Amino acid sequence: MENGRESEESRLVARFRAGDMQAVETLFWRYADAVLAYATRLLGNRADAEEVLSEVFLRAFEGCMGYRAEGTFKAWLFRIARNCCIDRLRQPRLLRLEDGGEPAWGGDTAEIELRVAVQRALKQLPEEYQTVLLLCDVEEFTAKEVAQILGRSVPSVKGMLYRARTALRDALSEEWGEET
Amino acid sequence: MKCTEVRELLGNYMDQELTESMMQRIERHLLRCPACAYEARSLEQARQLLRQGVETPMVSEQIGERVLRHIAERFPHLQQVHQPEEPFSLPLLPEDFEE
Repeated sequence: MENGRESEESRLVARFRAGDMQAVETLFWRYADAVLAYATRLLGNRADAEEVLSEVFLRAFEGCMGYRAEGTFKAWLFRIARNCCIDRLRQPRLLRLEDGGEPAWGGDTAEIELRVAVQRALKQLPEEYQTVLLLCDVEEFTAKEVAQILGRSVPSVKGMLYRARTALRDALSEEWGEET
Repeated sequence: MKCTEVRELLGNYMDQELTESMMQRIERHLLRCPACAYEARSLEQARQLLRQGVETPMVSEQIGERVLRHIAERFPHLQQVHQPEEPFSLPLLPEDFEE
């Protein structure tokens, strides 16, 4: 199944190189929500994430015009998304867009409390831990795909995932002042 | 199994990446070891809270169109491929009518 998807995406990339805008639209809409979600969670700010979204796809298609690293289009795209987010986080605070202050989430108080606690707990973790948790445990990427994104080996990603899960549990316990 | 062996395999256990017999060996250990059982349960709870608690924004049509416009501007070789409304066929030539 995965190989079928990979070869279909290779054909879409080839169509993009040949000038087919429809291929671009297909690849964009296939991953746009996931890239935006990943960037929003990592940056903690939707406005910044929307700015990054454009940059990610522009860089990805630029890369597709010439050399492209080994691996799936999806892994390539998220590798770029991660780099764009890290660049964004390194920018001076004034250059980054700010949220209005109020969370843009719906839902009842318990849901909002949970989201705030998860967001705070995530922010306490190193960026690599956040990335493995968001990609493996939320987006359900395979360890192999995350290894391609992070430029690490599969065993190294699995070890990091375990440490990240432990760190998240401890951070959530602190957020609530009790054990989860 | 020893606790240290179980802890090393707990991540694979959570992701169900072990053989059936190994999964059962770990489950047997968890039934009689409260410390490892707590470790497994609390990690799984944290994973569930993460899944429930993260924001899941979606790209609006407006934002999507804006990004696609940027891409089209950056890559001038891109052309919108439209499906012709009428099935396309070559025009008939006089020789087509010749017997």
